[in-house]
Amino acid sequence: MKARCRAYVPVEPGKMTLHAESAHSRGTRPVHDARGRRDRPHRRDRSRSRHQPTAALDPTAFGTFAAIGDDAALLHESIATFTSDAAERIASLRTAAATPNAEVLRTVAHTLRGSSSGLGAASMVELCQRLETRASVLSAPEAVRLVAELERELARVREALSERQHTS
Amino acid sequence: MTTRNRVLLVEDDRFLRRAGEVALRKAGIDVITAVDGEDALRIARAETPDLILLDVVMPRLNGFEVLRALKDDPATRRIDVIMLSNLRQEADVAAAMAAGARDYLVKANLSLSALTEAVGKALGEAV
Repeated sequence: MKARCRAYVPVEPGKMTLHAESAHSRGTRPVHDARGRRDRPHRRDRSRSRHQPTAALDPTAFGTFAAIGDDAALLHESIATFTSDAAERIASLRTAAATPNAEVLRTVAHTLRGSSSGLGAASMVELCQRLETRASVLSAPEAVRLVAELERELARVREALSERQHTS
Repeated sequence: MTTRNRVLLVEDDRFLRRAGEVALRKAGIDVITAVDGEDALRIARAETPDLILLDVVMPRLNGFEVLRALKDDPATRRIDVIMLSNLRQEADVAAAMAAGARDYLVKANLSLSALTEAVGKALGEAV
């Protein structure tokens, strides 16, 4: 069977374009992220933290999840799993930020980024990405500030999930 | 899909594991799950699934180590493996493909419906 590699790049929220390319033909250039930006460390972390407020959840991504998990009990279970695991991970990040412990920051942020992207929590994904890619160069105050931002974002996501649960 | 193919979903994050499991079941696919690399190898050897969806960053054995072990074992080397990861640097993708992965999907850009579609396509080509 022929092996191949694909990168999914959404052209509009929730709709994806499939780019079939050989892993060997693409050289060493980085893969683009969901917004089509190149995947590289952010140079101006301070300015990026003053982003415009966005929806806590991508309505299209959550819609896909909700459509598949149309069982209300299952939806409730999944949301409870996400929020409790996310809270535990943020607690670990808070401890790691105080030192700061770059390895723990990187691995925990990576895991949290994965589940956040599955839920369509775009701002959480972005904050996790920043923690993950800059873990080794962040000072303790910078790491603490990013984790605090992540914690506030989780609170927004919880609120949005609660609203969705009541309307679904 | 007329044949109920069996897929092993290996994912240490329980939210993503459950969401993926439900999505695939709703598409008529028989799903078994594993929570880490060691669990994945044990189940793959016992159940010989048609396809394995393999996370990369996991406790115990990581996805690359599991992939190499699967491809080194005559009992499991023919099982198709699709890597699922948020590691999207070219080196990670190339390493997975060189080790024998069929495909490499970036989770951050992947909806559940796109995952189901990719699995359906892989199984369609495999049977």
